[in-house]
Amino acid sequence: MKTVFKLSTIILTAMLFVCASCKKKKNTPEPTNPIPPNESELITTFKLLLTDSATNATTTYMFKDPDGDGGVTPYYGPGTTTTSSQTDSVVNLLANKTYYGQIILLDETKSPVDSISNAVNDEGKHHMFFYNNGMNTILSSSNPYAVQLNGSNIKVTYTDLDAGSTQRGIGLLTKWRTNASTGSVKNKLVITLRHQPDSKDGTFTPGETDIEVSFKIVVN
Amino acid sequence: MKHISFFVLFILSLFARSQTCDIVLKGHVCDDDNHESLGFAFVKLLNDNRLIQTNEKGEFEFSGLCKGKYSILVQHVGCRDTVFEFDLNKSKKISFHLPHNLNSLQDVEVVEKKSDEKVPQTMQTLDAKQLDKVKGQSLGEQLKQMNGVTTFNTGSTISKPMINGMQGYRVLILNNGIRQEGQQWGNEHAPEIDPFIAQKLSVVRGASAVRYGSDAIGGVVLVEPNNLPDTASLTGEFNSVGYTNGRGGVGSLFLEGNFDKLPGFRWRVQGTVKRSGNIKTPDYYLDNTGVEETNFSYALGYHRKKFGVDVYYSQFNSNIGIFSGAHIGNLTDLYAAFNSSKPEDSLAVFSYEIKRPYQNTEHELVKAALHIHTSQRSRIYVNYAWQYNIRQEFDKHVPKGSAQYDANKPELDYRIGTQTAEVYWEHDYIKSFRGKFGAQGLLQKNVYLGRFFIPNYMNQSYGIFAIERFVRSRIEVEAGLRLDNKDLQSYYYIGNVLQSPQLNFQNLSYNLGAIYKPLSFMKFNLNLANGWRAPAVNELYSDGLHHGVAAIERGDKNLKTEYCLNAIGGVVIDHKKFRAEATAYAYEFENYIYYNPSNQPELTIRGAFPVFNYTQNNASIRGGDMLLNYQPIKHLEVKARAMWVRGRNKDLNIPLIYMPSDRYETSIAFKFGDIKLFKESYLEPTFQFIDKQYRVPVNSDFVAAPDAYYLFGLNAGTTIQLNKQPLILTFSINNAANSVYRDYLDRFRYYNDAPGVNYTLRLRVPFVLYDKH
Repeated sequence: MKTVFKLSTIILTAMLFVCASCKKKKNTPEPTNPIPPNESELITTFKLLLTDSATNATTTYMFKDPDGDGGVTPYYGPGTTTTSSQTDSVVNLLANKTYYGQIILLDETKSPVDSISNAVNDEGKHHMFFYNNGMNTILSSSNPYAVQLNGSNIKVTYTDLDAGSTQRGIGLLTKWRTNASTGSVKNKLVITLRHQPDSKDGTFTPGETDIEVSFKIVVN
Repeated sequence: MKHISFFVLFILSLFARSQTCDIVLKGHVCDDDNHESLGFAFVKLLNDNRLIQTNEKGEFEFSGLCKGKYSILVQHVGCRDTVFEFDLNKSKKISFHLPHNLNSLQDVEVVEKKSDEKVPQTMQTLDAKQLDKVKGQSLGEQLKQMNGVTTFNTGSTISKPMINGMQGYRVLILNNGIRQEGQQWGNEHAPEIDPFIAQKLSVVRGASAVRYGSDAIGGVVLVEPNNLPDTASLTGEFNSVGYTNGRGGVGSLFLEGNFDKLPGFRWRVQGTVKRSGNIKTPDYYLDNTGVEETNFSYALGYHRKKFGVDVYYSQFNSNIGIFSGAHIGNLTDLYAAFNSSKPEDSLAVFSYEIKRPYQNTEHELVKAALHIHTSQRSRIYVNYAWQYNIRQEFDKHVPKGSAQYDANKPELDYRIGTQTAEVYWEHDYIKSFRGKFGAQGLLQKNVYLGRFFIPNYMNQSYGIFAIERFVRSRIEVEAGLRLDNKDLQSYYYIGNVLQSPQLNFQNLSYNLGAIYKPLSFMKFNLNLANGWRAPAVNELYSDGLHHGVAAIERGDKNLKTEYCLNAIGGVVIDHKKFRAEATAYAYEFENYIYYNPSNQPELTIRGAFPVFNYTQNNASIRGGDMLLNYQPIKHLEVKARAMWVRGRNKDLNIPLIYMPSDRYETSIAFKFGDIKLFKESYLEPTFQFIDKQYRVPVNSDFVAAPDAYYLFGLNAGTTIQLNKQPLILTFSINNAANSVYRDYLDRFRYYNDAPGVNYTLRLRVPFVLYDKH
């Protein structure tokens, strides 16, 4: 009986100590001071730069969501319209030409503006851009990775490489070869950045989508 | 497979001889001197701590007893507390003569809890025996045993209880008497409660705002531990559960005691550890579906004749892996997931590892309670509780770019602190009335530390209430009234401008109910109540991508208070071998707030996402359910259950989304009674049919509602009596046929099949280290 009493006392004393050692709360701020939005990392701006190899003239096509998901409706550039404009989402190329393509990703909520494309390049072995139009043919899945956008008759060849053990293209830098004019037909162009941590194998399937931007494309 | 053959052998060996527990004890309490009947005396069956009160004529009844020795404690004003001991072989009527009080020196309060309160709403309870069949499952899954209760699941590890077709804010959970205050806004946020705390789980269905606070529209879940021991003892219970699907294990232990030398002091310590790994569907493993849980609680009480003080502390910690194939990017990924028969990660193997994406939740509760006996028949209760809830959600991968980024930092991080206080006065029978009057207050602060999804807010509310009940032997009538006031101030940014809108809500709730027993074996209950619910912050202000469910959710800051009028009625017939329960209910809502899928997906830099807007309309939810239980012979018990729920948007004349489909269940229990060491053994095959949800709004879902399915299962159990030490063993098989199916109310039906076959073995060992008696 005495031992039982002792045991009970020990358990109770132990309780007090264990309770005192409960997980400490991190400093929780008062509700009156919410964290300003967008302190965390964000991709606000997608830019596709296409440079005519003959004239060195560069045209920028842009998709911009200045405050991230929700809130203000995103829009296509280069204009600064606040409503999404169909004309701004059309990529105009000339027939039988070579263009150099570059993708730039920005977080414009930061000052100075943060370049996310550098980060994608640094983590290139976990990322890959895909240029799709719903009916493309993969011409080469080894280096250099190349895809034929059927309908538009454009061949897109990747000109960059990641730092993985099997080096693969990332798709930030590309070369575009156009063929015959497609007239006024606007074909689809979907550019997708897949995040494929430790699973990048040159195919679209693994991982999940970080970016998906759709344009229309016309070759004249 | 080994344990199956063991069970078959074991069961065959039991067929020799058996017995059922269907003895009824009828009692009559009277004064030892003048033989006057003593009405409203407390009668406690010490064997299982059942506590009831005698009626006006001094009569009481206990049913479902087995053969054996029984002790009963009887208490009445002015009489000495007396324990009667007797043997029971068959149903009988016994008279208990209570002597007058002779200056009892003992200053220890004995009856600290009033007899179980009846409510005019429909109420069901799972006791320790019924909980034995489901231990180790989540709280929501355990509650599914009850009529009218289903769950809203996010995979097999996260389930929210759904009562009468309602879940989330409309279901209130009382954990040890305290309103559970976590982050209710997510469908993938399960209640942060260790089910092993409960020795009893109850569900009150129907609007119960007056008694439990506004919001309790669908119903209330009561998670109740046993009372602390009131006699000098040191006892405890060990529970262990092992299951094959997920290769999981749970261990739980509690110790409780009462000091000889310090009369009045009583205590309990309790803890639970749970681990499980990847769940397997019939065809493939689901990657990253492990669960880790570590919970503990302490209780300490000091009770004297005139008062009692109790303090309680509990902590709940869990890490829940989210199936990685379900944490998808955008609408394109979502459709790819729907259209593939197997998820992309279906090559997964078994593992206990919990990787991103996962949720980490912690919930702490401190409770202090005081009660003072203002007279033999009335008490004042003062309760204070503090709760702190941390919810952290880790996305599938860390955002890129930021070099300073801490990989261990959650993307979503919410802290909610809640203080609640209540004071109420309760009286037993004064003439034929019993009732309570009181006031409750709540102060709540919510803060986000990670990505914005719902705003910071401060919620202050208070309510005053009064319930009176008129009790006669055949009829009880209850009326209640409550006034609530709620102030909600939210803080968030639009652009760079801080917004701090303040909203005030004030409303009156009432209920009027009756319980009528025309015959000893028949009971009717009927309750009419209104209820209301202030729109919650996420319904008002959320605006953004909810990564956990891959959808853009948008609140509406102009939402108005949701009102409902509810009628719920039921009948219970409990006649010898036959028991039937039936319930029907109707809710008529004004401004019912719901999650409305929009046909227009919204563009983001990550592609298009489905959009859900919080909308309100007039709506109705009606339903019914029934249970039949028939015991044709001692060794056989047949059960059948059915439930139906219908939800309708009355403005648009379309069905409400996410309503449970029709369900039917049946089981046959073979009971073997007591054979040598094995007591109360049973074997119970079960069958469930869950119909397809045909009543869905058109074009509102990404994929059509899944087909109907049926499941086979098995429960078996026995109590091995080794000298005085009982070992309670149960074994269950879920989805015994390993059927491939998906359920309408499972968010993960978009991505993967439901879990395949699961074998569970449980052992419960109640033990006595020391007992004065």
